[in-house]
Amino acid sequence: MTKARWVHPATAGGPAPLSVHQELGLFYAYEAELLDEWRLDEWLGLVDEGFTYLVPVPLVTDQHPQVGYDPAALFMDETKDSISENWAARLTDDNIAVSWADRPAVRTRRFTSALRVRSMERPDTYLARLNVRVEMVRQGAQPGNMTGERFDIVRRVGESFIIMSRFVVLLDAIVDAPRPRTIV
Amino acid sequence: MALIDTDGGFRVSRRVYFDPQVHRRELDAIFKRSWFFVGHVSEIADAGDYVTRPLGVDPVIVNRDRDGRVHVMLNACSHRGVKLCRAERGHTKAHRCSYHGWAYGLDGACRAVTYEKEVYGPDLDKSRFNLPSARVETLHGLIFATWDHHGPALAESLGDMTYYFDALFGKFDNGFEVMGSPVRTRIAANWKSETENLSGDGYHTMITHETALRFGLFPSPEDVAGYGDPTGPKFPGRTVQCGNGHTIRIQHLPISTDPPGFLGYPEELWPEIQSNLKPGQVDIMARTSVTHGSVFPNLSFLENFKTATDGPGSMCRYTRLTLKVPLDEATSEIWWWHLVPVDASEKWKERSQRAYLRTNGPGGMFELDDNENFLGMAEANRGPVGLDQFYDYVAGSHHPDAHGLEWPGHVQDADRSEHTLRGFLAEWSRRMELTAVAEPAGSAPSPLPGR
Repeated sequence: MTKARWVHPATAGGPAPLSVHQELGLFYAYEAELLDEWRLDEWLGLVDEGFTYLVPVPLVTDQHPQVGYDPAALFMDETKDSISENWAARLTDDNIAVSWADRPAVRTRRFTSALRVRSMERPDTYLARLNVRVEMVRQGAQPGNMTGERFDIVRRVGESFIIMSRFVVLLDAIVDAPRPRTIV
Repeated sequence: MALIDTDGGFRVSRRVYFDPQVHRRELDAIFKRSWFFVGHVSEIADAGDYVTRPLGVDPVIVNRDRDGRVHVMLNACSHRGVKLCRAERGHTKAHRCSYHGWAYGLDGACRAVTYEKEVYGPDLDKSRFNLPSARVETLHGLIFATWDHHGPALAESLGDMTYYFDALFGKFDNGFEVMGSPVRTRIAANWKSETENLSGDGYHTMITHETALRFGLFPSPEDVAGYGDPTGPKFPGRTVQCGNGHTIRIQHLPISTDPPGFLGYPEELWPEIQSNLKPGQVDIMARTSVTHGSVFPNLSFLENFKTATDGPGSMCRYTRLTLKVPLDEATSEIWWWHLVPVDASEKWKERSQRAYLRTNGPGGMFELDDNENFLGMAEANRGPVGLDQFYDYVAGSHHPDAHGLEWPGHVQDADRSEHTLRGFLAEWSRRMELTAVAEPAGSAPSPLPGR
């Protein structure tokens, strides 16, 4: 059971230029707007056709230092297609009336910080690490949240970027957010 | 006012779910005495491996000793009660307390007391300080434990459920293994809400999960027509009260297959499924659409066949265990395990995990919408007026009993029913030492007596 099937991406590359940090910072701010407003169809335009969204199972072990997750199990395993077909499709006019958990929608705000961008071997490709906290309010209840660190592989395309993959290491040992099915 | 009223129906007071006094009584009457699932043997494969879990609601260490035996003991030092294992998973030769250094063997025996002679003199009997240990039994790799050292054995407690457990977990030559560590989630809902649902509520499916139906995640007759002879548009289902509060719902695809077809599992494993099971058990597991149920009080199992989870035309099966641990009357912690056949390929295991995660996983579409119901029940019924209301559980009480089957227990020939919910609640009532409840008039005799 300890087979390491999924581990966060790493690179030996050095820090990317300041300009890339600044551009990616704006990119992530815009991305947060799309996610917070549940504009998933537009958000899907920011990710590659082969995009994968992986979140391993949080785990506290007796090892030091802590990795914080079990590389043998996932909590989320999605692709661009599955998010399009099973997440975004729930929000269409045809389906929203029976998408019980999406009406009323959970209100969210994403807070990102500590963006660190490193160059990868492939040209114009970067490993972007950043901390993310998603505050959520379900209906009239008290807010909850999910907190984690993103490991994104991003590639420059023209004046912007495209997200090739996202791997999120959750800080939450117990996921108690009102909407665990979330793009962190 | 009776908490469960079967006079002319089957009504359950909402206090059963949301009255703090009822919850406190549950902790003593149910969560100190039952057999509880605590993990799978594949989680602690080697001597010294441990995981930390709830047993009932108390924290325990589950570990394997040098002789291969599994022990379950309170995760609290016998001296001052400090938590011994602070990780969720690890490996150790002994459990040592961070406060005064007392140490315990993998069997829970107190092995060392720091500065023993100086602090306690020459005659300390350390065995007085062994960790409180639970009674442990395993069944098909599932580890169960109980604080009750004098109650019925696991097999006796499971009763007729053993037959169904053999079908679910005993069908592969080399059994199941966990797909990594369990996920832990917390929800503002009573522990019984989801447990009842998973006990066999086939009534809610097409309403709560309508989007999944629209997206093709439920197999259609057309999806499976090529695997057997179509039997019609209806997915036949049955529900079973196994006694002692254990229940199962079994729904089949609308096809007949010869030889038996275990759709969703790797085809190279089909022959061993058939050879490991009795004919009646083959009848359960072949052409299964979904089967789920509960082991009283708080373990639920689900084996599901889903389509389109990996794109159009895909199909796969997954097995899930969930444990609902009450934190208070309206907050529950849920533990989620995904099990896969040991002998399946790595590729199949990953496909099964995707199918599970996208549907019945902790972030899956089905759970998303189910949770709305469980949350809503807790939000709407905790005021003084709400607490005085009742839930009605009479659905399906007129359904006919199934005949001519090998299956044990009280089997009904329909699954849009609250048959299994009544079975769960009848045992809950008995364990809470309330007046024994009966099935609604017109139904078969209650399976409760004769335990």
